[in-house]
Amino acid sequence: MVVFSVWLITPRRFRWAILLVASLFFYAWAKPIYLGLLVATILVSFYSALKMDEHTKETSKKLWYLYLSIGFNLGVLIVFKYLGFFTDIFAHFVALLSSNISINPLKLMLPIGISFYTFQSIGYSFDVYYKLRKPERHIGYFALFVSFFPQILSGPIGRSNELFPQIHQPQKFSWDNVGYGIQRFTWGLFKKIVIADRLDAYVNTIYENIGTYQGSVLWLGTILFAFQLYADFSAYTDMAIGVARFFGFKLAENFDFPFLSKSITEFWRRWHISLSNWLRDYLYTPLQFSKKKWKKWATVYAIFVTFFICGLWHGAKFTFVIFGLIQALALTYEMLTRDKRQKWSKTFPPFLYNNFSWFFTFVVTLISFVFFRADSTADAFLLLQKQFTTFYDLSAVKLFIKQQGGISFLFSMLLLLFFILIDKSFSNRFKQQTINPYLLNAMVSVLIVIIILFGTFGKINFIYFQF
Amino acid sequence: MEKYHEQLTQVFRNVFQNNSIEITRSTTAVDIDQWDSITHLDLITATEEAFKIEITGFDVMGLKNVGDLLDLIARKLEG
Repeated sequence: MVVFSVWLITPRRFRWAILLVASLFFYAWAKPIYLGLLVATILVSFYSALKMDEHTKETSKKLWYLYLSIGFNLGVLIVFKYLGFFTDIFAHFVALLSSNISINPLKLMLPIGISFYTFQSIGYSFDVYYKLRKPERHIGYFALFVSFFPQILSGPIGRSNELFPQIHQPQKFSWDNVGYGIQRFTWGLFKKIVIADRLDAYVNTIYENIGTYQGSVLWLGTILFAFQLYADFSAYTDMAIGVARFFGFKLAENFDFPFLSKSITEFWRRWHISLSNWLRDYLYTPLQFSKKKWKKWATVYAIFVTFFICGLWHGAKFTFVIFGLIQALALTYEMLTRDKRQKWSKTFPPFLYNNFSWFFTFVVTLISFVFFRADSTADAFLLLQKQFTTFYDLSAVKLFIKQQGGISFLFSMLLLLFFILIDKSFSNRFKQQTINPYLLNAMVSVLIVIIILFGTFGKINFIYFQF
Repeated sequence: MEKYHEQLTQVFRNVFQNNSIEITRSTTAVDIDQWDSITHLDLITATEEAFKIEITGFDVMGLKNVGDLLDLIARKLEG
């Protein structure tokens, strides 16, 4: 609010500066020590891009500067995020060889937003390298690109061709933008406080006591987790998009009803869109084309590497890697069976084929989410084993519901159902970018009432902040 | 660019096994059902074979639509 008021009174030409100061201040307030890291990243990426352009005809020099930027960004990311992971592996390996040596793995605190802003900078570096855009010559504009506060913490991962034109233009105030921003933000707040945080309690109970529950309850827990994750993360995206809109910025969408997907391939066009597009453009496609002569195996190779990285991007745990590998296996299966499935879609009645595809996709998604949520691979495998052996025990589910307070659990489910039903119409309105002002007021009032009445309040913590 | 349009249309029709596909300069993967990041490779290699050119990863990076692809083909053939 403070930022907005200051922004309002600043002449348009300098508004970017207000946003930059706000972004840096915001970041420093969240984690002061790492502001230096952010600034260093900005400087290295900015400088390498200019040098790449200068040496654009000298391929090896140009490549050197690309490596500089990517190396620095990735290096920073790897050190802070994965050093512990690798030294753990190393320590285990050493322990196997000799029980005398013990290594204390170095565990550094994860700088907030690091997975997002480093990827955003790397994307920019690639764009300049591939001559998709000229480097930004204004350090202030570039710094804003990397550190823009609505999106620095958890995305959406911005692309240079989307953000720079908006940064360069003086941002105008408009009531439409404010209206849209408030709506979008409130919708996100609703999703987070009323839906995601409510589900959190149930999911935690189940996932922290895998041993005590039957497969049927574990399925319930995983389904609730899927919705919790979706509500939580898309809520953050909504709030980011809403806040950015106050300042006239249009950020990219991140979700498109992912659980409607009828294939995993489709899932990645609907889930965490900014990340999957980023991976597709800067990792998957170059990999695929570098091994062109392997034909379809080039694609398989690209899929596995990309989703290994995708899994790893989420965190320094084997469970995330397995999450990625499950996705890779599913995508490879879909790719190799494309023609066969095409035939099936024509042989079977559409109703049957489509619903089966949806069901199968949802189950695969849930299985991969088990790995996403479980604390360890041991937990995950135990959970899966139970899910596939005692899934029919409905009395266990009834008992669980009773233990969670019966009526209050069912009420939460009702809210979840309400959310699922209205999600599509709300989101479609947002995508249209136009808002009916009366509807706006009605919506916001109702949402605020709902949030106050049904929200669970407490420590605000977004799942994707840990990434 | 129009001289390559017909030939490229045929490439699309072959790769996606659909003889009713029509392409314009602004056509993108969104407009054609089976065209996605997975089949993109098939499309590009088929284009290479049809026009007897080589398309590298670098070339592919900036392609946003069929228009860009037609321009790329023209650049490769006409220098």
